[in-house]
Amino acid sequence: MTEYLLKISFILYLGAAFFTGAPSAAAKGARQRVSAALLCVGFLFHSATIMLRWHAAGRPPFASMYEALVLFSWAVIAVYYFFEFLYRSKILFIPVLILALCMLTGAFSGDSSVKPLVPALQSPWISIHVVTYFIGYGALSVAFMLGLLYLVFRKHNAAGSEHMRYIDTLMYRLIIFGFPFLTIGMTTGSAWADAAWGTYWGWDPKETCSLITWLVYVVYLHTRVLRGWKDNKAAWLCIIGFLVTLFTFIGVNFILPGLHSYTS
Amino acid sequence: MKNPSGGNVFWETIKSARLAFVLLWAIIAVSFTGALLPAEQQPLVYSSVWFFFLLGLFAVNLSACSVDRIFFNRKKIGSTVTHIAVLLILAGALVSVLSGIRGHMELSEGAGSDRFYEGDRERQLPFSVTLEDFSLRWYDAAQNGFPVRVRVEDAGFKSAFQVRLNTVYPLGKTGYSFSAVKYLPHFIFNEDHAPVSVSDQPQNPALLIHIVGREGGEDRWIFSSHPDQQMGGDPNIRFRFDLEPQIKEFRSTVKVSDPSRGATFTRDIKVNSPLEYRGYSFYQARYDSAGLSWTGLDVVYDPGVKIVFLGFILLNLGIIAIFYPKLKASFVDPPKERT
Repeated sequence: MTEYLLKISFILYLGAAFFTGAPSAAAKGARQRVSAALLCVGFLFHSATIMLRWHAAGRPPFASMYEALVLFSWAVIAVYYFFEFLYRSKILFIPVLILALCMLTGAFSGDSSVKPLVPALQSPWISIHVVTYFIGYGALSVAFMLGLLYLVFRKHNAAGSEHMRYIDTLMYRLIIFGFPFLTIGMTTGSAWADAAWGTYWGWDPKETCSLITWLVYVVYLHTRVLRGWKDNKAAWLCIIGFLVTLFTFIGVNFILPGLHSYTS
Repeated sequence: MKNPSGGNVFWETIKSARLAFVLLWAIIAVSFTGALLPAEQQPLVYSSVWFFFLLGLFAVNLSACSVDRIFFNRKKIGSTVTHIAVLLILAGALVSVLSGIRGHMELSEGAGSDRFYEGDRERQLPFSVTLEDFSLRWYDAAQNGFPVRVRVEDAGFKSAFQVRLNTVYPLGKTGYSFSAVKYLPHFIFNEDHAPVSVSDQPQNPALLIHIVGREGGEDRWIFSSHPDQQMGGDPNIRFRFDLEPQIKEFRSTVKVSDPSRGATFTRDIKVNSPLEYRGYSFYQARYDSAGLSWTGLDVVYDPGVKIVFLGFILLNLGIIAIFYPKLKASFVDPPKERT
């Protein structure tokens, strides 16, 4: 049943994207309201999918790639709503829809069966570790889309123009929103590893790549403060950061298996 | 040595942001290189002297930067806490490396020991641990249905089912249907040649299938451990039982005896639930898959853990303290044509 709900939310997101149209033709009036309503209803279905699967599985639904992508796409839209509430930043609407649709397409191509949790995953840490990580990932992936947008718009706009400053500041805000979640996710993962295996840090490939991801964003934040990077360099660093994030999330499972290989 | 502006060159270099960036990129590059190596070769990087030197230099640089720009500045309390946290984590990791012990012990049921092994080196515990019982719990195999694949040769029919007990499954237009009527996790024939299960451990999972065919019905046992073995019946219809039993829990029940403190108590050790006593932690690590007669425990003594975890707590608090006010700060208005 949860798969049907998810397909409904996917169709609603698709409808929201259709009514919004191309990024250059910002949705206005009726089209904008229809798009927003479709996204909102789709998000409700999406949230219901996660809650129902949680209930049906009798455990947090964060144990397989299918479940991870469902949560990741949910987090992306949750971050959008938070930023919409905080800054009324509707510029994120299309990037967020693109991300959510891509992730859900990936989820549909995976195995959606409910698998029992291996003993190592039966931990109270799983919820806080995974949820915080995906909220962080959600914010960083939206920042990545803005990074791309920045580089595209930069060809036709001066760095100090109103548009460029707006995109740059929003990108920065997304990163400083996501970074604390990334930190909580990494440290709670370490506490979990200590409880499960007696090693808070074992240089497992997933652990190492999560540290590398964290350090890349440390570099981003420090270059901004200490070097004043706010132009193309910052956008590139944001893009590199997300590519490393993506490698940590998906690539490691297939290329560098270790303790986290149950997620592949 | 002084630089032209009158500062000490060594100090200026050590506290420089440039050195910090160089070290951060170096740590990123080295960490990634280590991750690419096979697990057994990773200590060549992560336990090497030069990697410790790199981390040590980073700690010195971080300390110098912090003292120079951040510490004692009330407006930078978040940064101060964050930088102290990173230094604490590095200090805790150093304590772990220098004084941590990681070993293992194997205990048979009813046997006790006050010794464990760090590699080949024998170590003594200040108390003894006795294994009272080791048990495995499995997930209910029927919970999500039994995975069964069916093939009807002459009709070219193939399909997979999640089969529930006593439910009839028609096989398209082949004229066959089947149902599962009994599940035995540890199948054997008893002395009377009757199929029975001798334990609830899925050592030889078997499913009794009732087939209704074109010429009447038959019962057939199928086995997940022997997928090609099917006992008798119509060769035109073939079944395959794909059950992969999943372990739900490993549990070692141990008794700790500490005569020096007059303490004796019994505790369960499970994955994610170690036994902790007098600075030692015991983790469920291995077991006897054949007879469940012994357990393997990892034994860890690591005084650095608490320092690292204190660092983690401060790191999170510091980072939230830095960024939360910035998120709340007023924002440049969105360009009108974009909203």
